[in-house]
Parts: sequence; C-alpha cells; structure tokens
Amino acid sequence: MDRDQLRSLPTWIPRPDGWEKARGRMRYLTDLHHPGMLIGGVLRSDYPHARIRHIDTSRAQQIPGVRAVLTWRDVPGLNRYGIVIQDQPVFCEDRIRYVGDVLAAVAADSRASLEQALAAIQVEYEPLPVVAQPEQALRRTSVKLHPTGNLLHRRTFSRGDVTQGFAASAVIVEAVYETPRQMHTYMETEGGMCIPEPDGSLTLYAPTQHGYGDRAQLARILGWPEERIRIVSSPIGGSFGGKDELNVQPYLALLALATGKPVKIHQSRAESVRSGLKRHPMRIWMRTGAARDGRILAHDVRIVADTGAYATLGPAVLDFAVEHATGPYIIDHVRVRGYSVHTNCGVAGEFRGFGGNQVTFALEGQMDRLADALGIDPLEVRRRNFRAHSDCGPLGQTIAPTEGADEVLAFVERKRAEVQSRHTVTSASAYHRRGIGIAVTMHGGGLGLRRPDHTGGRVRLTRHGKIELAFGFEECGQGVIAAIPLLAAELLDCAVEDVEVVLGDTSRVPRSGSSTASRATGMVWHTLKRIRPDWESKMLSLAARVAERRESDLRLGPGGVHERNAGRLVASYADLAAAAGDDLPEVEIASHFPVTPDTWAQDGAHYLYSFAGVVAEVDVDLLTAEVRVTGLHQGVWAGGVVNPMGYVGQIEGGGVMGMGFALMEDALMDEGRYVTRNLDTYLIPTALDVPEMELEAIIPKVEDGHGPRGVGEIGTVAVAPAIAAAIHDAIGVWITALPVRQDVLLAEMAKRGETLWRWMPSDASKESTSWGRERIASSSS
Amino acid sequence: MPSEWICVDDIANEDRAPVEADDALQVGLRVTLAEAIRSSAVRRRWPHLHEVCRFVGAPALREQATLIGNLAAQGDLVPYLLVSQASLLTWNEGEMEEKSVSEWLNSRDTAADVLITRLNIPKESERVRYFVRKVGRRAGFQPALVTIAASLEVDDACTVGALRVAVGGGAHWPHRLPKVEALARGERLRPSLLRELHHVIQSEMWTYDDAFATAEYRRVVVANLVTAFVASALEEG
Repeated sequence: MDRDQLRSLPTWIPRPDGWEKARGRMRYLTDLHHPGMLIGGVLRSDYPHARIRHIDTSRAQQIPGVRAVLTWRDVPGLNRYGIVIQDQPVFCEDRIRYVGDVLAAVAADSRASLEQALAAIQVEYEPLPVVAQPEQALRRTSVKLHPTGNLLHRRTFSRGDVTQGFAASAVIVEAVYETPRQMHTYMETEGGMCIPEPDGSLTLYAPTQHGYGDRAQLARILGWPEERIRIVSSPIGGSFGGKDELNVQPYLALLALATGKPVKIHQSRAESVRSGLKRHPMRIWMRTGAARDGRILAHDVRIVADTGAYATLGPAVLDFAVEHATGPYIIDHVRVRGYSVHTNCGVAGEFRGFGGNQVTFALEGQMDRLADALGIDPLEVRRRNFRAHSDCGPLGQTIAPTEGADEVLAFVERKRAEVQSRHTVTSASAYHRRGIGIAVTMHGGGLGLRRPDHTGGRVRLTRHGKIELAFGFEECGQGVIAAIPLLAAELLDCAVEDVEVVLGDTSRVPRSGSSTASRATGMVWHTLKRIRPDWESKMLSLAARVAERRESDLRLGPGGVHERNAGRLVASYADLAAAAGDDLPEVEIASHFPVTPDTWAQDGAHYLYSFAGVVAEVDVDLLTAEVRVTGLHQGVWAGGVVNPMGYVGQIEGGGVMGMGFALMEDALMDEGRYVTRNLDTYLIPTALDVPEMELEAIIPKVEDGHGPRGVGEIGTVAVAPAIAAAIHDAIGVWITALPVRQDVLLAEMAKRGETLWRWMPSDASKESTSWGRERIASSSS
Repeated sequence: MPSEWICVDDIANEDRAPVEADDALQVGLRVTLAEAIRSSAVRRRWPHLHEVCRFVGAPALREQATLIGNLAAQGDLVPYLLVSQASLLTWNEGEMEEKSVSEWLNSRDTAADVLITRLNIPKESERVRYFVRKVGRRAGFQPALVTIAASLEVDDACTVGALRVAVGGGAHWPHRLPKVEALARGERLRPSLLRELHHVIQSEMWTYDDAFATAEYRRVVVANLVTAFVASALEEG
C-alpha cells in the first residue's frame, strides 16, 4: 500500500491531538503553572571528571527568595537511579563522572534568585584525568570510573568457526565503522512540576515514557511506598527513547518535599544538551568472507560502544546490537564480540533503533563492499544470503515465521529499478553526481527474552456511556492516542467516537510497561484481543437484561449493542451505562510481550521482527562535497497498519532522523565537554533538507496472530547505510564514519584524483582548446 | 552572537523597505531581510542580493533581522557587499560619514560605538557576472562553513576587466582577495590562469579549522567554487 492508498483508507483520520499541536496550543506538562509555585534548578559539574573536595551551600541559602538548597545529604532514600542498574547519583557525593552530574538543587521564588543561588554554591573540585575514548578506558592503566571498572557490559555470540569460514572464503572484506553521538532533540526539553498534596503524597507532572517506571524509581529515592506518588506523564513533546530514564524528576520531588510547595523545573536547551542521554557512539569492526558465488561464509564483528558515565540501558543496547550484527542474513560461521564501556563522555542510553542503527550501518556497508569485491549486484548478494520464512532468528532462536524479508527485498528491487529509470536524465551541472543506494534490515520489537516486558490494559463503560480504554503507555508524539480508538473499533466492534482514551496518569491507568521498543501499538492490539471475550460477555449480558433479549441474539456494534442478524441498535452504550448503575462493566488484564519459546536463547533475544528496505538517492556537489538526499523511499513490513496517518508519520519522521544520523548530527565532545552545546551548532535536518519520500506499507497476506508490530523505530534503521551506498555509487568513496563529513569526503575524492580539473568541461580545462583560439580570432577580426 | 542589541523598531522616518535611487539600492536600518526579499526591485535588479538574503537565517528570523544588522555582525551578506562595492553611512556622536564597506571593515569602527544608518548597494550590472554561495552542513538556517561572493567582468576578447572575490561567513572576518583579483586583471581567460587562480585563492584566503571542517577544506572549496565560476565564463562565452 503506498501513501495514496493509505490515505484512501477509512481509518485515515486526523489524530485527536493534531489540531492543538499543529496550532501550538497543546498544553504540555512543562507549560503548567501553579499559583505560589517555586522555580527549581540544579547545579551541574564544571568538570567531566573530578573529585569533590567540598560543597558549601551556606551563601546560597542566605540569598533572599531561596527556599531550599539540597545536596546528597538531603536524599532520604537511595541516592542513585537507573532503570536496570542504579549507579547514577541523584547528587554526587565525592566523585564527578560527566558534565551533567548534579551537585545541588535549589528552589526559589524567582528565576533571578535561583540563578543567584546556583552561582553562589561553592564547590572545590580536584580535576581527574578525563577518560574520553572507550579504547582508552579499556586499558589496564586507565582510571577506573566505577568500582567494577570501565567495562559496563560484555556480550558475545558465536556460531560455527569463523577461522574455517574465512579459510574457505574467496573474498574477504574488512572495515571499521564509526557512528555519532546523536541527540534525541525532542522539541520539549526536560521538566515538569511537583505538587505536595495535603494528604502527604506527591503528584509529579513530568513527561516520561514510563509513568510506573518513574514512580518506582522515585519511591526508591524518597524511601517511600510507590503508592504515595502519583505520576502524570502525558502529553510529551517528543522523546524517541530519551525520556525513559529519569532526568529532573528526583529534584522536583525532593525540592517539593523540602519546601512543601509546588516546584517547577524546565531545562534550557543548553542544559538539555549537557545532561541528556544520547545515542551510543559505536566503533564497529567487521570482517566478512564470502564464496565466489556471493554466499557469506564467515562474519566476525567487534563492537565497542561508548556508554558514557552511567549504565542506564547501555547493556540492553549492546545486546541488541550484538543480536542484529548478522541482520536478515543466514551465515554459518559467526563471531560477535560486544563491549559497552564507561567514559566521561556524557551518558548514552535508549534511542530509537536501540543499537540497531549503528550495527546495520556497518553490516549493510559490508554487503556493499562484498558485492563490489565480487562484482555482483548488491541486491543479489543480499538475496543469496537472505533468510527464508521459517529460518531462526539471528541468535539461533525460534522467531515468528514471516515473509517480511522477501517482501522488503522485492520492494527494493522494484523501487530501485524505478529510480534508476528516472536517473537516465543527465545531471544539470558538470559538478554534480547522482547516486543510488539500497539497504535492508530486520528489527526486533519488544524488550526480548527474560526482560520484564509486562503489559496490560483496562476497558470499562463510563457513566456517560463511553468505552474508556486505559493503558499505562504514554503519548510521546508517536500517536498511540490515535491508534487506540482505531484498534478498539476493529477489535471491540464499537465506533471510534464511542471511545475515550486514558493515558499517562498512574492514578487512572493500569500497568502496561514502557512506551519503548516499538511495542505500544502491538500491545494494545494484544490486550484488546484478550479483553474482547470477557468484555463482550459482560456487555451482552447487560444488554440482554436491559432489552429483555437473548444474549445469543445480540452483538457489539458502533454506538451500542445491536441485533445479531438485523443489525438494529438494541441499546446504546449510554442506555447500558444508565441501566448498569454502579455496576458498570469493566475488564482488566495483565499480559506479557510475546517471546521466543527457546528459553535457552540469550537474554534479550527477540521473537517478533519488523523489516524495512530503503532506496536512497543522493546528489553530491563535487566542488564542495555537499551531499543532498534527493529521494528516500522505504518499504516496511510490520504486520498490519493500524493508524495509517501515524504509520506514514513514523516512517517519514524516522527517515528524516536517519538522514540526520547519516549526514549531520553529532554531539561532538572534546575531553568530556560538549563542543556542540546548542542547536546552532548541533544541526538536525530542516524542512529544506527533506527529500521526496515514498513509502510502501507491505501488508501481510495472512494475519499471523501476532498483530501489528509497531513502527516507532524501523523507519530510522536502514536509512544511513542506503545513503552511504548512494554516495559510493555517486563518487566511488566508501563511507566508514557518520555523520558524513564534507571535509573528509572532499579529501577522499582528491586522493582518488577526483578534483576540479577532472570534472571541468573540457573547453575550460584544456589549454589548447580550439575554443580559445576561435574566440580570439573572432574578436580580433 | 553580539553582546549588545539595538532596537530599531521605534526610529521614525526610516523606510522599512529598500529604496531604489540613482542606480543604487538604499537600505535603511529598519529594512529586514524579508522586506528585501519581497522587494520587486531587488528581485529584478539585485538578483544576487536577493539570493544572499534568502540564505541568511530562516524565514521567521528574516522577518526580524535587518541587512544592516547582518553587516554589523559580519554575517553572510558581507562578501556580497564587498564584491558589489557597497558603501555605508555611519553615525558617530552626531557626525555622519560615508565610507565603503571595505573601509569600514578595515577601520576601528566595527569595534567602536559607531552606528550604521544606511547602506548603498550599486545596481548589479548586466555586463558583470556574479556568484554567491553559502556552504554549510545542511540546506538552510545554519552557520556557514564559508560564504563566498565573486564578480567577473570579461570583454569580448575574453580578457578579464575585473575579478572581485570575497570570503566570509562563520567565524571568518570578511575579506577580499586582492592578490587573486590582481592576478586576473587584464589577463586573457585561459586554463593556466584558472590553475593559478585555484592555487592563489588557497594561499591568500584567511580561514580556520574548527570542529566541523578543516581550514584545508574551506580553502579548496573556495578555490573550487571561484575557479568554476570563472571557468563558466569560458564555457559560456
């Protein structure tokens, strides 16, 4: 289904929050204002690595208008946080590990008092040597950033014997790939408000991908039972994985408790850059051997991820990268060694694609190099190694059988031919070259084997006759708020208008797990499927009583319960609500994301995968090495399409984010300090950079019982390698480091003899052209 | 980013749009980039100024930012102003003074409390070829890696009357390349001249390394673009 076909679906409807967002009228949690609220802020480290000799807050406390100045001594519970491993200090006690580390927090009547107080806090540091590179961190002689050392996590996978595989290979290609420290660049920077309630509880309004997750973490920090904390967490002005971990929530809660007043914090963009998570920069070495016919015989991989100062989800990101190091290819001899390493370079964590984008850039680069070395079409090399429907997953685990791989490859073949036929038109200028590149990927959804991937939801009839669907997922811009009513209409046979969605408030929603790993839409589908029988039974039983009919004669329908055969409305949902009184029908279930039945498989191994094929077109300016993406076309297989407008948005938005990763985005650091400290130097694509984008949503011929897979990440994953391949196609330079730097590209072109003189039209570049003589002759005559 | 800003909104008797007078465009201190872009005179008779204004900032910013503000901040407009031999009127403690943009850049006025009140930009001549380009890391709304402007007058015998080249943008102090210009003056356009120009541009221009591009890159890019521009006169005849 292409975009036009998606647009023609009856489910192509504007999202419920669309108008408010488009007009800038949406009230986000960081827009909240409370009479009498205090302004909060934190003091972050002056150094990327230091010992703290002394912190003196006495002068800050005396500044008029200052209500509280807190340090580690004021944390009643655990002075640490982290989704899996609690190693990140709320307030540093004696050691600084990155420039975002917090030493103190202040609440004041005004921003002026706050800023004065933060400036008045005196910290005596003892700077320590900065560990700026993972390879440096792994040396025995390196300073240890944590008691356990600098190696946060190691993950290996092997199959067969790579030595044997390489010995049998006719061609071996080897390269080192480097990927950038990409920033999520959500429009809404971190912040929120915390209100101390009269009953001694706290209500925290702060965007997060997982309200219950934040609640558990805050309860640990406060030393409270979780139930004393209410988290209101949606809507969110973008997240992309960057708001799953805590950010300013601990300071909001601690300051509100200390002052007994509402406290608001909203980080500036500069502070967000300094403190926020980033995508793991990875250095990936790959050696791949193949037989003359293109069959890959051996694949050896070493991944070193810069996870920065603290753990957050670093181990899981590495596991994902290791799992996806062979992608959709079936290879007999494989060895993958992965290392996630602490440095003083910010903190890397969860980010759309979750380690898949980095390793796919490397893997697809290897496929192109192999094709080049063998003289075989890059698409054909991929096909010769591609997985079949029922093949195992990359870690040898059983996965849900799928035709996704074949379908996206067929898309790539079709689209590439179409694009190539358009490219026969010659370039407008002598100084431009065009290129076309392809890439494919498979991407696991959900958290994987042995991860706490619980989900669930609740449906109930409200007093006003609405069908209320409550989930613990968050609306972080991805559009789950639009997908839920559409799924309810499909699976509960109601109308979209019958549905009310409740999200983002721990006092009102059940636990559904985090809005992460492309799982929310799929989990809504699974939950509603399981809820359906009970819900139907309760509703029909109620309707039978109200209408004095047999249950077997009735069915659920738009607006209410209908006659099963004639279809006439028997009782509206409002009628049923009125008749039910206080005994309103309600069904709640708890469930788990589907996992592979192979319990022996590695932690995190996935069961459900989505697939994407990308065709990229670029135009390279030979004089400046500027690269413009002129076309970006994606074929996506991700189960069915729930919310077509959201689907298109995710793939196109993901595509643009993938372009940023490929061509311009990198939070540059120098010795642990950010060089790109704001959006004037950290560039993301603008509307002017967005190319022509075509999309094909490939719908499975048969629904396989696992429903929609979710498309939150898949649109970002294979974009960079397709662009890199297109650049190679245009000018013959292999790309090994992202983002592509123009200076590196121009220097590489020069090394290959690709200079101005080679491209200049012959008249102008050759001394003895007849043109010059004729001109002179004609002018003198 | 300048440390001090001057609000010009409430200055009376100042035109908001550029005014065409005596073969020059008069740009007052309230004229925004957006107004210049909207001006049909600019579009028709200063097409390269029009192009330059469009690559400064972003649409919302251009509604607020003025041409003179861009000049004062040594922005992307300056190479074009240097090449087009624009002049400006300054106000210094009650005294008005007219000088060329080039003189102004080389004077101490840029650092002193001297206000620029007017900019005069000569009309683009049909006999002169112009070239303007901002090279950056994305398609728009960005700091330049380098901004270039050049103009070339060639007679029918393919002899260069005048070549003007100026470099600016990013952290460059905008400057002309007099050696390059002198090298071409009076010379017949020929491939060996192109090679010399390419070489001298790189040795003469002042530039810098930063986190985003090497100085070498900036030199080669300016040399490539200017040489290709000059060569286009050969190609097109």
